[in-house]
Amino acid sequence: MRRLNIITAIVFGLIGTIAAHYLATIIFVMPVLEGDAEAPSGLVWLLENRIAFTTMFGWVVGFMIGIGAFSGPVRWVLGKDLTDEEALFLAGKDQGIGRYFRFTTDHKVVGIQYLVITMVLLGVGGTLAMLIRTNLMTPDSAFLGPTTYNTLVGMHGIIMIVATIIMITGPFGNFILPIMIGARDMAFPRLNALSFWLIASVVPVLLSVPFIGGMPTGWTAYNPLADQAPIGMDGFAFTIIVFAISSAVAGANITTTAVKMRTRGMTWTRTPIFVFGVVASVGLAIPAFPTFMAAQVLSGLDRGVGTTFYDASGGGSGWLYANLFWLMGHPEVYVILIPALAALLELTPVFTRRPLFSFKAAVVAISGIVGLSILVWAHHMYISGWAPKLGGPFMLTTEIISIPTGLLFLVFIGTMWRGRIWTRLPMMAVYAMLWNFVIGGITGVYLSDIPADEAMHGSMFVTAHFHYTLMGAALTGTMGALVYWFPKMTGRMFDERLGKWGFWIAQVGFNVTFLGMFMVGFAGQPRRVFNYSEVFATGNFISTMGAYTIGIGMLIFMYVVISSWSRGAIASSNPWKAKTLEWQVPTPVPLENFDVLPIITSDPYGYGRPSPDLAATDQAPKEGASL
Amino acid sequence: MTMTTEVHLHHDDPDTVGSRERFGVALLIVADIAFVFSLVFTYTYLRFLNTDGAWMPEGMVAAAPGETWLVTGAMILGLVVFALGARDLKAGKQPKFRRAAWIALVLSIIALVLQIQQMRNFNFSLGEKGYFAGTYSSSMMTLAGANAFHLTLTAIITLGMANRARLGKYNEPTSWQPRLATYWWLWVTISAVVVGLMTTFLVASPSLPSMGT
Repeated sequence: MRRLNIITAIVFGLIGTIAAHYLATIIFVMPVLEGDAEAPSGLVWLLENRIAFTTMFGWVVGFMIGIGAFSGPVRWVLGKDLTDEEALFLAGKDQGIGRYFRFTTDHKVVGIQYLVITMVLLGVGGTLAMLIRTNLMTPDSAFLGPTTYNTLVGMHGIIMIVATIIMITGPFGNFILPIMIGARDMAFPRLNALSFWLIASVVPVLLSVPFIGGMPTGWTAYNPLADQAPIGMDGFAFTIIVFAISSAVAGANITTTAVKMRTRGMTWTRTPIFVFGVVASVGLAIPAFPTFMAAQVLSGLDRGVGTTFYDASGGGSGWLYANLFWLMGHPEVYVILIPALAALLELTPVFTRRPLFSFKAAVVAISGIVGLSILVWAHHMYISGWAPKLGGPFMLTTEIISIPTGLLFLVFIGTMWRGRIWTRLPMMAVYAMLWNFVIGGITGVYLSDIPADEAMHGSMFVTAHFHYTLMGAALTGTMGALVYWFPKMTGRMFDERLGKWGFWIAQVGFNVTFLGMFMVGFAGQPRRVFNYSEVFATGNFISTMGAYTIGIGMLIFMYVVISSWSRGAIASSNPWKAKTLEWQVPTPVPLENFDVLPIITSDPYGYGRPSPDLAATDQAPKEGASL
Repeated sequence: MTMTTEVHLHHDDPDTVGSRERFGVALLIVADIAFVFSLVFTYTYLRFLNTDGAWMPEGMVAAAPGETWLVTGAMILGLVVFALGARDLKAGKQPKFRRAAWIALVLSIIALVLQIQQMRNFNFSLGEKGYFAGTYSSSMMTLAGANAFHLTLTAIITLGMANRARLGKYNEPTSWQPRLATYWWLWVTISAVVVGLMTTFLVASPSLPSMGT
């Protein structure tokens, strides 16, 4: 256990890869070669996919053995429970920077690990976006070949989806949430580390997709097209399966922590809104993501075992895939969006010095969005021909979901109204999010409407709409959350002077890019096209220039993150004078967060009210102190 | 960032830990329910759709329900034995739980072997290209595979329980741990019963061949 780290994980992963590859060849291919007749091409195809899946499985299992993920379960079966000393080692005690490269159970280490992997994924996905936009700068560009273009579009999509799903609940849900509720760790520390390392193990598989044939389907991986795609598609399906397992594990862990481990006195009405947002997100993912996983398992079986779930000639149906996919696909939007909005709701009272306006309305709005989000999936299938009679009900549920979303806007505006706003970078993220999300939200109402959707479905308008939602609202919210919690997580202040430049350059670039995209989409340009008509040239050129501007802004922002982390000004324990618990503990945060657990006697947003609490003293709580 | 300090681990009392772990396991089971639901939806949807009349192509023989119920029967028996053992443990009868855990382990392995045997016995002719003939056979094989996966996990969990019981790890205050395993046993047995009922009584498609894709 003590010798295992990322190096042993990679070594074991490579051994697992090679062993699985040869084993699969012996088991699956040798019997066929022994026959006299030449194997039919269909069978060769199945065998190729079978070997690919087995090889990827070998990598992940080997990697997880090498990082030490199976040590706990094996010791449990053998009845050799961890001693306190071993548990402290697993928690990363006295291991310096090495703890970030091990199967470390401390939630703060896992939070930082998630933050780094999220930034890496966003960087890769963003680079792919630059390549895509470069190709689309002129109507008949040959910068990328059509096959490469399709693969990069799909890769950009899935990388960004994975990154944005984990970008709040991973770093901040792990690092901040347990401290915020007055807990010493997560409910299941080993599952916590497991959820991270599962993602870390499968990222190389995902990134290998372009090198093993690519994927022509976009991130939705629609069947039966995916059934006919090269082996790269196996990499996609395998990634989703592992990611869904990781999400279920993380979801169970975070939800249990929030529900069962809140400190004494922290009733639901005294629980910070960020906790509600994170729980809503991971709680929604628990039932939603397994359907996506099932869709990919069936796709993998079609490709590797010879089932015919999506093959119409064998009794299958593409509609089956579409249903399973979108049963996850639409809730997934809210899995991404809700925690980002909740993070901004959390920081808005801090910078307006006012209580959160109508806390209960915010909770009702989040609950309403979660409830309705599982009843809207078929609006993605209006023109697929599936169940036309259900179009009306799905249009209704989709349009109704704008009501709780609108309620959240009211909470933001109500909190800011007549407040003495302290306009720091996190608060700027609130302004930017409100602007972007109004555009993203209203264009979503158009698309929920069947007649409008029939005209705009599959166009660049849709692409612009969901980027306004996922990037304009969720990613912007994450940038605000990062700056807000940066001092607590790194012990250093974020350099806002340069950071503001990066942030606003990216925001301007974002609006230029996607307003241009609305323009060409409204004029009829389809998405996922390699070349396009001359009539869309101006809009696309504008979008590409905007995308480069985003790239410049994001590079500046990333530089500021890295430079502030390494040599920023040392942060005090509560630089924002905030009232939630994470700001009441020392920075750096001790291993178990609290020596004595605090007792909560008031809500976390009591700004402007006389309070006996210690929030403004910049001191760690004394033993038994009430907060 | 974490600072290095002299620390000692705090331990919560067993009831608190038990309550927390029960909740967490229930959530993981919810995730598995969603996965099994997807497979059940797939079976019923494709059966109803009967695309191109290929749900059960002519000449295909449906799986014998007897084998399905043999597997499920072993699982029901295993659940009952394990649950009674867990109840005995709560009443302080450790030897009874120890025996029950080992018997349940044997039953889970028997069920797993029977499940694999059923999959080998499926008479679903693979076409010339190596593909399954029709979506009934695809669905049956997948459902059986999912049950085999459930049973493998169940056997590992029950092995751990039995071995730890042998080592005297369980007593009244820690009886919540076997109860967690009972939740899992209960869920996999329910899923086997639901799938068993579905694949016994909903076999032939009620629909004429459609051209749905």
